[in-house]
Amino acid sequence: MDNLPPSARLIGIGFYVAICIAGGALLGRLLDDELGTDVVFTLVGLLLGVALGLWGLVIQLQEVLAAINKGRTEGKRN
Amino acid sequence: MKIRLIIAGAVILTVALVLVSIFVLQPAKPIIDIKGEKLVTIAESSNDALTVAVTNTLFTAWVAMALLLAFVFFATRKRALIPSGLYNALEAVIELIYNFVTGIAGERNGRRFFPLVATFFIYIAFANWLSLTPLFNAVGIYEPVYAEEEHFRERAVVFKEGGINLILPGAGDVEIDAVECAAGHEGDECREEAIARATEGKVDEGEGIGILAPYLRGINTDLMTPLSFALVSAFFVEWWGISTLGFFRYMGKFFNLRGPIDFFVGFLELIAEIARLISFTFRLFGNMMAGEILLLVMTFLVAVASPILVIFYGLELFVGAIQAFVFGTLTLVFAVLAVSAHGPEEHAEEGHH
Amino acid sequence: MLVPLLEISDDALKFVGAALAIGIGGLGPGLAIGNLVGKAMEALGRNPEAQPVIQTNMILGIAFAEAIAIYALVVAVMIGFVF
Repeated sequence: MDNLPPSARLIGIGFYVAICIAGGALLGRLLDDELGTDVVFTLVGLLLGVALGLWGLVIQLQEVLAAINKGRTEGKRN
Repeated sequence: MKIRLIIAGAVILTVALVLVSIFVLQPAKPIIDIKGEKLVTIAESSNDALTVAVTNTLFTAWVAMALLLAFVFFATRKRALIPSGLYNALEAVIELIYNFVTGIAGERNGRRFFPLVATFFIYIAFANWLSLTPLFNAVGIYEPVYAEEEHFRERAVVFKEGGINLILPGAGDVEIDAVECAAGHEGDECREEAIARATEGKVDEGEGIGILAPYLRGINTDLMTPLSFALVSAFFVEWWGISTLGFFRYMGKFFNLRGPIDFFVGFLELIAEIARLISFTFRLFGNMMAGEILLLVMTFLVAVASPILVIFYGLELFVGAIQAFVFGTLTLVFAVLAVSAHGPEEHAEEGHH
Repeated sequence: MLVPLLEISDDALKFVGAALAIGIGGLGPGLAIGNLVGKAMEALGRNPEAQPVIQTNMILGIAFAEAIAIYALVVAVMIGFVF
């Protein structure tokens, strides 16, 4: 995982955020269909998905930035 | 001499087109919708405002993001000490914005504000210019017009269900006169009758009436996008203010209990903060929506697009870039004001660079 | 003489309202922007070295003034298309 270029890890992070948001919305909608309420759970699932995606994005992005800085100070090209 | 010939030719062509469109071919009339059209509905709701759907503006935002990311990806693949090609262009843009930002905000604060402000500059300008390329507002799916309230419209076009339709000049325009029908779910039968009356001779078997919901539509023409930009900008300005000055000192700027005049000034500043949200939103939305309506109306003024349209296209290019610049600069200026403790004196100190 | 006036339909008044909204609403910002750019040109003529500072602040001022015109335009569009 560490010798992939940063762009590949960023693509992975992008997929993570997209799947979080879409998955949250779809899970919410399944709950809605089961329980029969109006779009409440879809919106809640959407918001939770956005929050989870954003949190994971920030943590993973900090890791990627640390890796780039480490590579730069050691003279390696990443 | 050649310039005069070209201008004379353009004017004669325009006059000829106007005459043609009055007497021979009727131009199709554009149907303008303020809300973004929904392409894929994820969850229906009885309240139309709460329906979760992918609108065409959201889809266009994804396309714009993908294009920007692709540009950066291909530009940074070969990184050498002396840049060339795409990487050079990217570096020139970044350096221009960075010098501008540090010129206003000073070195330390400039580094902190730079990512968000540069994103506003680049993304809004790119999205505004992208909406001027072909395929925008032109290719899409048909959204049929029904008698229920959410699907009802006053003007529509006749289309064949299944297959490719072209909206040509002299196409089947349908105007539905439903002024007497009540708004809301009670007027459904009245609207059905109005639709049946309007489509009497015009609709054959296998045809319906509806409007075009384009796949690609400029992102700032939907009110939600400028609103979300304004919310992000306001959130970050407050965040930078609070994280620099501390919560109580920052709030002390607005709730100033030192004297009655100071209290009123602080209160007015609070109102100004909230009015900033509305002003950001409507400045960007109004400029972009007005530009799109202007281009649509000018395009469909005559049966075939005339050369005079080039002037309005140039105006749209200019306005798109200026609005992006204004949005980023205003965010930057408000951020600098928010992190400054005493106001004018500190600002002057930071600004001289 | 007054009878034709009393028979004006709602749609006609709607159009008149939209046109007046943007027409009158554009006067103030137009004057303001003209004034602003005039003073900026004067300052530029006196001190051409301060050009970036003057230009940036001028564009900022123009944005604020134009926002008022945009509010008028939004009201006109709302009257014309939403109501």
